[in-house]
Amino acid sequence: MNEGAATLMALAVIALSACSGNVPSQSAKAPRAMTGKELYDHWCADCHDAGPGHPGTLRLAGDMGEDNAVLLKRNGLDAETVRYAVRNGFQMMPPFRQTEISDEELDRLAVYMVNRK
Amino acid sequence: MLTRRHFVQGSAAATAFAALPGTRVASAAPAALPAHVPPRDFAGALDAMRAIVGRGWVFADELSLLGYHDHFAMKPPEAHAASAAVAPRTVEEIQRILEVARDHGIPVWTISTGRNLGYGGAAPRMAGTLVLDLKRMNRIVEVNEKHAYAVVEPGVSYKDLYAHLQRIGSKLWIDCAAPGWGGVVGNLLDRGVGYTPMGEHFLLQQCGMQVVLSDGTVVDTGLGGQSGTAALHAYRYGHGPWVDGLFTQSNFGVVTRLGVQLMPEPPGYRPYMVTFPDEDAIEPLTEAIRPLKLAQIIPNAATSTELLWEAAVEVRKDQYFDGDGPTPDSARRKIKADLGVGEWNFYGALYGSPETMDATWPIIRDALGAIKGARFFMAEDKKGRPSFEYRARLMRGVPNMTEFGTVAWIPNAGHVGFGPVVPVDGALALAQYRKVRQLTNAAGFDYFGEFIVGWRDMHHIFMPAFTLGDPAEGARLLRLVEALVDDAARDGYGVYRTHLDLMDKVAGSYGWNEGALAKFNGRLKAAIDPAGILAPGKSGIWPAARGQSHE
Repeated sequence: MNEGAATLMALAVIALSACSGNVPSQSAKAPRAMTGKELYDHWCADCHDAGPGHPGTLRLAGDMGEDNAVLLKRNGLDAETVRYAVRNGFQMMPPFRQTEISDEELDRLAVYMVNRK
Repeated sequence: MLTRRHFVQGSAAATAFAALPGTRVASAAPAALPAHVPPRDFAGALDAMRAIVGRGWVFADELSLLGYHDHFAMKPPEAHAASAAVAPRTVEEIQRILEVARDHGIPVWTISTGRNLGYGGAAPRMAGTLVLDLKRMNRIVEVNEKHAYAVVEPGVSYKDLYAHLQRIGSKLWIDCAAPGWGGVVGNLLDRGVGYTPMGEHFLLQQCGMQVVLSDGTVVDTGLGGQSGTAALHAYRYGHGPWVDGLFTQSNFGVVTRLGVQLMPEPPGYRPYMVTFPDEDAIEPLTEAIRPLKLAQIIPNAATSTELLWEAAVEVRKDQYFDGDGPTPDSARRKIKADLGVGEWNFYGALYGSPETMDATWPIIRDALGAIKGARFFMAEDKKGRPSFEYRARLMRGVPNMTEFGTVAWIPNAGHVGFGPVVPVDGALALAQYRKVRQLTNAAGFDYFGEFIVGWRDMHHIFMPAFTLGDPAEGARLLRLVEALVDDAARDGYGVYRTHLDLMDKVAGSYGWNEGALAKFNGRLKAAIDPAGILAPGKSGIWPAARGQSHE
């Protein structure tokens, strides 16, 4: 992916307008690269956070034990594993395309997840 | 770049992954070239597309194309392997891509967010098709608070739109499908449903489409046909034939923008759950729901959910049964006791002022309370229980992923959707439930089902989980759902939406009068997309040049 394209991907959504009237009334802020935490919160947290109601955590508890169920608390999680799982998919989790998570974003996401513990 | 091969050979993490029960390493199908397009021509076409969208937005390597597989495929990945993918950012880029596709005879399959899991995900119907990935077209063009609508591009997910409305302080609610990563446009175009009073997405939300036809013509539907029209997203019909439906579940155009009518936040909201201990309760429950829905006393798209669907968002099968085959009754009884749920579990919500809700609640309570064993629960009774709390979020349009737990039920699982539609009739609901469950259990799978009552009909959503990467199990599931389609057709139930592998079969089940409807669709296809490049095989509609044999 080229750098210009990556910049355009920086925000998941660019709002061109907001609120009142039926014509655009509020310009979007300049695109800003999402941080690793923001990427995790947007793409991963709903399935992988701690606690009930998170299907990834529920499944990993069965496969790898409760101690390894929550990704951000898991021992031995490395950046390669994160990158692999995101791009290849892993069991019930489908792959994520570069149009969803760019390579640069994936690097930031992996760094955040590995260093979070 | 870490490749799959490098990972498998070199990473310690791969060893840990491989040790998991039932793990398969994702298998990439070799990219399949479009039929009748010489490799050199196809390579030239991709170069032309790179010149349009930038080199980084054309994907033709094995690893990138993994994301365009059907991750929950019943067949081997070769069956729906994309030849490549291209991701435009603008309508003008789409027009230029389609020009290249027309020039080379390249078939093009459009996806929005590509999360249509259970129905084919991001994969095309026909191997060798180029995927037009619109995820980068993710602009929320407008939010109109006064008239309660938004205008969005196809790449906007429910989560995106919800987050944006929160960020700007909007008092508008979205209506989302259960997996929050789904696309606002894609789900609506596949005629999906949600759970708020706006749950019938196409019926209640769609208002104004922008469509690119295969010849590059841009059409705005409804009042959009008039330049500068004031009520474009308030009145959906305009003048003359209303064509919007032609672009749902079809391959007649590429929808690039959609007006989506939203629900103003009500002054009050009270979700509730009613459990029923008996399997046969679906009959009186459905009979009780019908008049309440017809009169809009139950305003939202309400659901009657079977036991295992409830269970799977909280627990795993192995916690109750580690044998093969369907969950036995002994385990089901323990699940019911442990989770405090019923064989059937009805979810609805009250919306409005306290006075309004106070007035309607006794009507609902008395109607449902007359059914044997009914137990009522409000939010305070179910605090901390994910099965209730995710439903409570869905019924007020808060996206989440909890329902994805239905594929966490067994290791390494996917699921596939089968959705026959029936009127809101108790006897029909019971008969259909019994037959689908019996056939499902006989095939060795657990029944996962719910009935969603949008207004005057029920969608019977059946989503059995199966083991990924097991060709025999995938084939067994495919035989089951094929049999269910045939059985539904014999009983007079139409399927409302289906997986790639079943599109021809379901289209064939609409065969009255020597297939007049399919023939009409074929005539539309020939007239609107004479080059036959758009999504061959979508909903069983094939370009005439390809005849009726497509594999």
